[in-house]
Amino acid sequence: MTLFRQPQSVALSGNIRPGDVHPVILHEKEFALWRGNDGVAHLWRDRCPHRGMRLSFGFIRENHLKCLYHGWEFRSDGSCQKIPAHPDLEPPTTLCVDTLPVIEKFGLIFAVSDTQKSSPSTHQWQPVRSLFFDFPQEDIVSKLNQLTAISFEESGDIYLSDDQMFACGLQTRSGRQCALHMSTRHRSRRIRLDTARRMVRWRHVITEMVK
Amino acid sequence: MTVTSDMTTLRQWYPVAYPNQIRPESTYDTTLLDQRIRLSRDDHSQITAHRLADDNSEMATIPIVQRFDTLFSTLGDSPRPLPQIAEFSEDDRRIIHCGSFRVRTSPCRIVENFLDMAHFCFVHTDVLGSIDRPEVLSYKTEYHPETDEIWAVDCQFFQPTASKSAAASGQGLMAHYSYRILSPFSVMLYKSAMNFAGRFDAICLFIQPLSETDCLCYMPMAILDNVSTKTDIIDFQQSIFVQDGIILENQRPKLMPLTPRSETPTRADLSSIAYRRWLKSSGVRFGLQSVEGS
Amino acid sequence: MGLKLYNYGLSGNCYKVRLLLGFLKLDYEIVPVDFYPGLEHKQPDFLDINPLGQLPILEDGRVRLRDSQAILSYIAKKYDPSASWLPDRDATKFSQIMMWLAFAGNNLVAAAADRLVDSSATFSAPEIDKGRQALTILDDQLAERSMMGHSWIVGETPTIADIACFPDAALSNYVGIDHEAFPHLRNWMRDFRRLPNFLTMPGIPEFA
Repeated sequence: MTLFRQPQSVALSGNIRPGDVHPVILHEKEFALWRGNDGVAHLWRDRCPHRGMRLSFGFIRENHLKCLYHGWEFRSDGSCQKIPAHPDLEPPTTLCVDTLPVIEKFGLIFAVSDTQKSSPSTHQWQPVRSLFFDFPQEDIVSKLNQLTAISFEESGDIYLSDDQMFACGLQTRSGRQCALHMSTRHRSRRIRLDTARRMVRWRHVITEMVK
Repeated sequence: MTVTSDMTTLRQWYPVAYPNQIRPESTYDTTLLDQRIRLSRDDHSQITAHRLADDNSEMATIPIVQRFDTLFSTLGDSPRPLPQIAEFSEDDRRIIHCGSFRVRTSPCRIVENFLDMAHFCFVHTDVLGSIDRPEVLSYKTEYHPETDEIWAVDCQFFQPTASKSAAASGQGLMAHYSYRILSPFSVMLYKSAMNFAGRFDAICLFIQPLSETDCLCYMPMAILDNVSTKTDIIDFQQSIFVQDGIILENQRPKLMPLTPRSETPTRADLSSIAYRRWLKSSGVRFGLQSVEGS
Repeated sequence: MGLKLYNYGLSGNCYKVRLLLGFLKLDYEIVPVDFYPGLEHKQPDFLDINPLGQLPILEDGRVRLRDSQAILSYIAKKYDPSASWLPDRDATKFSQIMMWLAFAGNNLVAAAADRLVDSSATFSAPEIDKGRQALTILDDQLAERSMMGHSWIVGETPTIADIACFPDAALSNYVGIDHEAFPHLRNWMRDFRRLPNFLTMPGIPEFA
C-alpha cells in the first residue's frame, strides 16, 4: 500500500510504547500504529479484513495484534495467524491486513513509501511534544520559526533547528488538520519541559492567529 | 436529506417510539429514513403520526400501530406485515423493554452483530462468552418462503454466566440459540431459558433508521425469569448492548459492503452470509455501500 | 451496617465510585436504580433520598452522600488507611487533587456525561467542542507529568483525581470524540486499566 509521496511523521517514538496500539489519521485515512513487545513499530490500515473493525481498538499479545471484535490474530507482517472461532482452521494466506512501511529516526516514527531497512539510531533523541491542530499544515510551516523562536531548516522529510538540537516532523491528517511532533537531543529535562510548555503556548497563539 | 427511493426499505414497518414516550396531549418528533415525523397523542389517548415539512408543519398522515409494547410506523404503501411472535402472548412471560439506544452506523451492521456469536467471548467477556471457549460450533441457516424469513438454527455457544443467578454459582453451560431475521432491519433470537427446560426467551431487536448511518434500537423481550428484578434484567441487556456499541460505531466503512472481497467471512458467519445474500436478493440498497463506492 | 451504593450500570459517575470501592476491595451493597428507561431517579421515592435527582448516592450507616467527587473523597478518607488515594497531609497535593476533582465534575462532563443512554439526545457540536477542550487540557497535564517521569494526574501514584477523570475521558470515545489527538491521554488510560483490581464498565473496551 503506497499512499504518500513524502514520508509523513505519525508520532513521537517515545509516545508509542511496546504493547500498545494507537489510532493515527493520515490524509483522511485511518491507521493503527502499534509497537510489538519486541519494540518494532507497525503502521496498518485501521480495518480488520473480517468485518471492518478498527484495529486500533485491538490489543497486542507478544508481537501480534488481535482484533477486539472476534480476536482474529495477525502477525507482524499483517498475515492472519488465528481465528479463535475455529481453533483448528489454518487461516488462508490471502487473509492479510494492509500494511505501510515505517522507519524511526530523530525520535519520530515515519510512514514511508518504500521499506528503508536502515533506521538511524534514535536513542539520543527524546520526545518533546506532539500538538494537534484543526487547520492546514501550511499554516504551521509558514509560522514555525516565528512561533518557536527557533530557526528551523527543512531537511528532507524533517525540519531541523540550526544547532541540530531540535527536530520537527509534520503530519497531514487532512487538508484542514495537521499535527506537529517535536523531539530534541537535549538531555536536560528542564529544557524539554520548557520547550513543551512553550509549544502549548504556541498552540494558543497560532489558534488565535489562524482564526 | 431526501427519503430513500429503495422500495424494499420503504415498504417495512419501523419502530418509532415506545408508547410511554408520548405523554397525554403532547407530541414527540423523530426521524424515520431521513423523513422527519411527528407522533401526537390526543385527549382520548389516541396516537396519530404525520410527516413533517421543512417548516415543521404537519403533512400527510402515516399509519401507526402498537405491537410488542412498541409503536411502529411506515412510509411505504402495503408494507410487509409485522412478524408473528407467539411468545409475546404467553401468560407466564414478562414483557420488558430496555429503552432505545442510539448507534451511529448502518442498520445492516447492527443486525449482523446481533446474529453473530463469535464475538461473545471478546466483546461480552465473562458474560455471554469465556475467552477459553471461543469456538463456534457448526449451525444451519434456513430460508422460510412462507414468511420470507431467514433463520439460523442449532446454534450453541458456551456461556460462563447466563444470568445473575447462574453467575452466583460460578458455572457455565452451553446456551442454545435460534435467530430469526424478521425484515431487513429487524431480527430476534430465541435463547434457552434458565430453569425452564425446553423453553426459550424471545429477545427482539427492531431498528429505527434515522438515516443510513444513524439508528435507534428497540429491544422488547418476552422472557421467562421469575428470579431477577426488572431492573436487573434491563441492566443486563443494556450492558450487552452498549458493549456492542463500541464495535458497531468503529466498523469501517459504516455502510455495509456487499462486494465479495471487501470483507472476509468464515464458517461462523454463515448467518451473516445468508443475511447479506437475502438483502441483495430483496433489492435492499439502504445502509449498504453502493457497488461503485466500494 | 455496611456501605450501600445507589447505582446505575451505565452511569460514569456511579462507575467512579465502583472503581474506588474495587481498588480498596471493600464490600458494599448495590441498590440498582432503573435510571433508563424507568427514570426512577426522578420519582418521589428517590427524590426523598436526593432532591437533585442524581446518581450515585452512597450510604454508610447514618451518613448519606451525593456527588461522585464528594463520595470518592469520603471513601478515600475513611477507608484507605495508607492515604494513597487521597494524600491529605501534603497541602499542595491535596488541593491539586481537589482541583482535578472539580475539573472532572464540571469541564470534563461535556466529553461524555450520561448521553450514553439518552437516546433522543443529539451530540451537539458545541458540547463536543467543549469536551475536546477539556480532553486537551487533561492531555497537556499528562504530557507534563510523563516528562517528569510520572504516569498519574497528581503525585507518583494513582489518586482519586485519576478515578474522577477516567470514566468520562474513556467514554468520550464512545460518544463520538476520537482520541487520535490525545496520545498522553491514551497512555494514561492504558496504565489506569492495567491497575490491580481495575473494573471495567460497558462502553469501555475490555482489553488493554
